[in-house]
Amino acid sequence: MSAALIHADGQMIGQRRAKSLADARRRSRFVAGLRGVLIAAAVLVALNALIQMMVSGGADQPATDVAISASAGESERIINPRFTGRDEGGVPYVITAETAERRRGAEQALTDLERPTLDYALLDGGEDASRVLAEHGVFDDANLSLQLDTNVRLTTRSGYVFDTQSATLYLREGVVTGPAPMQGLAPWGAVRADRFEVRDDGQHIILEGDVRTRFDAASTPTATDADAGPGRSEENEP
Amino acid sequence: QSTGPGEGPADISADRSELFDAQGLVVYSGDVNVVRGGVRLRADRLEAYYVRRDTGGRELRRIVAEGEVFYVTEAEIARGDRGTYDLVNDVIELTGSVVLTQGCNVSTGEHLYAELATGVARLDGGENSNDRVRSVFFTDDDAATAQTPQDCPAPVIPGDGPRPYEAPEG
Repeated sequence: MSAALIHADGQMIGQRRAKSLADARRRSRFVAGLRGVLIAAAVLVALNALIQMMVSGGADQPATDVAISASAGESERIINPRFTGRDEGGVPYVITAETAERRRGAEQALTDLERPTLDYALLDGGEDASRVLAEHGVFDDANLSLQLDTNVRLTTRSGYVFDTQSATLYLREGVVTGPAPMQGLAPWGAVRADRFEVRDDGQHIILEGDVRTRFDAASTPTATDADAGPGRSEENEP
Repeated sequence: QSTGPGEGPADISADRSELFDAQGLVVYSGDVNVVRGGVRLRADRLEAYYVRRDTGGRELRRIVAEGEVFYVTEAEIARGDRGTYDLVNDVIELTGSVVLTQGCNVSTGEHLYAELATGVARLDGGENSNDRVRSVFFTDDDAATAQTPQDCPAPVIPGDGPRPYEAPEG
């Protein structure tokens, strides 16, 4: 093969090597660039998580997120409102309402609700947890409380029903208080009191002021029961 | 529909009550009155125990009372420091400084055992000798039956008396 030809081949190989070196260099610069972007993104996500925690008051404050479908007009009217969060024990709750209106200015943590419902461990919400609790409610996003007014009906999972005109659910502590006279039902009969409080998932109930309770005839032994003996649950026999 | 002793619903009223559903216990305090079929039990503090039935309902089984305990029927009033009401066997027992008053007749002892179904009541003394049962009977029937309140005042039962449960209208 003639010298000129060899020389041409050499030049071609040299050019090809230089080109592939340049490609390689360009690719490694691109990869390095990607690595930088990835690290930056990771730092950003970490920072955001930190900020979220500080904004929502630290670890023990159950996170509350509000799903606002749409808001319009001069006050913030929320359509299909839905407030979700967890109580101190980590038990989730979901508040919905027919309509909701978030207050302005200093009271912006408060949202007025029409016919609110609450899906929460303490309360028996019915199959699809859609039982309306009251005509009106005010959800306090800061204190995680739901104040209920007008035709309030609360049904606990332990089988107690309380009808009253005013009650407040403290979602962080899982406690319900009722400062107004209450008429209610119990698995064993009926109750009434001037004030009431429900704790420990409805297992602990405090009634105060002119307390009147009735153990139904069906919830008290009759003479024939005395001989019936077995067949009736002997749990927590005193 | 009047119910006899040991029958029908049991109405319990008080100033305050605390309910522990898991333990089947309701604790009442403050002028507590239980009324069931013509029988009344009154105390400063009272614990009502109920059990869960297999059918899912509950059944009030036993009541433990303490502090100015009074067992009141139409015919007699008995007073003691402590009392129990066994709803299954229809028995009321009072213990501690028991005073049983029937019209003008008064008896004292340490332990009263009253069967609601039969109306039979037994009063026992205490362990030591000065706790023997003591009674004052008016043997002269006319004197006994013609007595006026001033002659034989009934024991004063503290508090405002029972407040029956009233179901809401509608």
